[in-house]
Amino acid sequence: MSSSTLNERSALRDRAQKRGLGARLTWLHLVSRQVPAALAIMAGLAVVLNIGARLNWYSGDGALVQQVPVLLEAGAVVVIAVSTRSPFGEVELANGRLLPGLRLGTVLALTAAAIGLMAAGMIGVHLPDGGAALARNMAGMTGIGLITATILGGAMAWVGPVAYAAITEYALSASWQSPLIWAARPPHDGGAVLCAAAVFVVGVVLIAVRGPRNTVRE
Amino acid sequence: MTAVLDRPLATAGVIRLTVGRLLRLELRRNAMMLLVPLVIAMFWFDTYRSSMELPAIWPTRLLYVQQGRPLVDFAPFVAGAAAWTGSRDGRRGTAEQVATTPLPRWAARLSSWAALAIWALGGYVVCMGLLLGATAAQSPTGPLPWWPVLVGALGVLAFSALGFTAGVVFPSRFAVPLVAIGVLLILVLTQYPITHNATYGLLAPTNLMGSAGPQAGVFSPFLPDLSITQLVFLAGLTVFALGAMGLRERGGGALATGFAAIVTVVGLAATGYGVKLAGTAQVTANGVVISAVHAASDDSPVTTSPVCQGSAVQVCVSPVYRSYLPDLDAALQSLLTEVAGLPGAPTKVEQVVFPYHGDAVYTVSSLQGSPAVLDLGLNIGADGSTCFVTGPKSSTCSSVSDLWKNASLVKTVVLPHTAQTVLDSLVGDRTEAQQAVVDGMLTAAGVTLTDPTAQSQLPPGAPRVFNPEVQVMGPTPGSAVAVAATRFAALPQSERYAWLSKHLSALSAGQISTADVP
Repeated sequence: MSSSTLNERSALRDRAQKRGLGARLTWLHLVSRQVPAALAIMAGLAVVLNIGARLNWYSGDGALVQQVPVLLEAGAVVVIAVSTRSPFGEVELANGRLLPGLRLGTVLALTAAAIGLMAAGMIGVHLPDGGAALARNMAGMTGIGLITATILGGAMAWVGPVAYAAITEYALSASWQSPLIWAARPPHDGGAVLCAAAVFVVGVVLIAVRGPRNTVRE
Repeated sequence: MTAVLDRPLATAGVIRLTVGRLLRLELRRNAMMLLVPLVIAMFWFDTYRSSMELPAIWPTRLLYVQQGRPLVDFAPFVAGAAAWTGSRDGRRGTAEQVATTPLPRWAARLSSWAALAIWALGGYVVCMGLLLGATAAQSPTGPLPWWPVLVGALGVLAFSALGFTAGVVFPSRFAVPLVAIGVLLILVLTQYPITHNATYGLLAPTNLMGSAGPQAGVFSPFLPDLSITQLVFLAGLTVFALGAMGLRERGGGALATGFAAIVTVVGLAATGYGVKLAGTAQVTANGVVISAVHAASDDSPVTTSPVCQGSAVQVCVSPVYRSYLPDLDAALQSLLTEVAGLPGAPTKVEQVVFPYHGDAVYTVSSLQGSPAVLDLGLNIGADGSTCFVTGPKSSTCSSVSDLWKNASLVKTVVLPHTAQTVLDSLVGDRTEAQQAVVDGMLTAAGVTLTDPTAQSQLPPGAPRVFNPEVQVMGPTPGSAVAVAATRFAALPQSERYAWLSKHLSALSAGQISTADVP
């Protein structure tokens, strides 16, 4: 066997090992963020969304028609926001340069999964404003959750989306029309989509670059 | 021997001291402490601003408090912070470590919960103090309904206890946000028709049917029946949650477990009793009546001297609504001048309670007694907004509270329905002549009759007009009724009055035709 063949095999083995290590690192990162549990909770919320529609929670013409779906969407969003919390704290920051990429990938994948699962929850039932509004609302609120995570820490990241959901509840009751309250706008309203997208992008960039704030405080 | 006797006392003293120290520590480090500014901001944004837009009449100003809005502002964050605090040992994996300390875990956890509850309740007291203080500075009238304020306070405690126990049972990072969102979802769902039943659904402090309305306590005493039931229910939930938390502890021995079991059962019994009481609730115009806790003295009306105004017929309102009297009198005088002194006409207008949960939007009216008195219920102080047609292809919108400050809108919302009540009772509406006279008098009194053949008067995209009570359907143009009505309305008021005085009994008896109407 020639030395070049041995070198090729060694290189292939190294690449395979790296791929294996990369997959393992990604999996460990996802497990440390409790992503499997997060997905299970989102699936549960999607089921509740579907059951709510079958119980006529979103039929009629009152504010409730929009309020309840927004709260269920917020439920999936707070799960994403809280999943950013690292159980390792500063120790993790000292290891490697892959962390921003892992955080970015995790957040994007979880957001996509949340929207997908909630959209699946609409199958066979009618949701006011449809899937476009659902994706817009969830993306925007996810951005708020991620921004909160960078300010207050992953553990308290739920505070932002819950506060925003409560404000949205009020805005829907009072028939507000501000694009900053995107859920109060029609699904294809440009201003609302722009606001939600901007908040999402800012949140994703912040969480990828800075990560959630590490705090030991209760 | 003395040492042995002293031992239990010393142990109890040490526990008290330790619990006290722990409470002080928890008070300085509690998660709720960080969230208090946020909940105060939420309260300001939602309850405070909305309430301050309502008239400075105590039960009206506290309408949103009656509807449990402060709880919607507080409960999600309180429950979330409580779940966070309760899940601390589980999240940090220190449950077994701290279980070996001399202080029973139940006592330690109660200290943590108490610290959280103190912060949450402190925030609630500050918020309610701000609202009540700002209202008191505006010299409000009417009685102050304290009961809903107490229900809100106990609601904060109950959600803190439930959230804390949820955190103890499910010490996951996801339990905290799900508890918060779950609480918000429950509070929103219980506001609306999903649980909008008039019995068990009333247990939720946010159920809109449970609110006695903006005139609670003005015409009859505030009925505390539902508040008492809610307090029993919420106290039961609080005690149950705290007791159930004690049942999970293993370090306290049989005595502690037994005590926790008793507390849990007591809580459960109180909760069940609250549910049972709610099952007998009846929604009335004065509030919710629950016979088991109802005081008979609350059935007698509040005795106050009404304030009156008016020349032809006196218009009287409760002194609480004194500032609205001039506009109300002006709105009704055109009608009262037309009918004053006629047999069966009202000799006085008296304000009565407006049925808050009824179908009427602005007013209810009826003629009672002999000599007749016009009972008039006015929806002053309600929330929401409404729109009116103000002319061809134009409309205006106003909050229901603000419209009572606008003289022309007061006339728009009070006169049509009231005039129809009075004239239908006085003249009748069976024969064409009666209809013609009523329509003529309505026109003369300033009521615009709607043309039944006309299309919508508003252009597409104009605000939706929801005012069935301000529209009175007129006769078909060109019909005998319309011709006679126009003729009668065109008469000078003195001639109309003279003709009516002479022919009212014949007109009421159906002995006059449209041709006889001058």
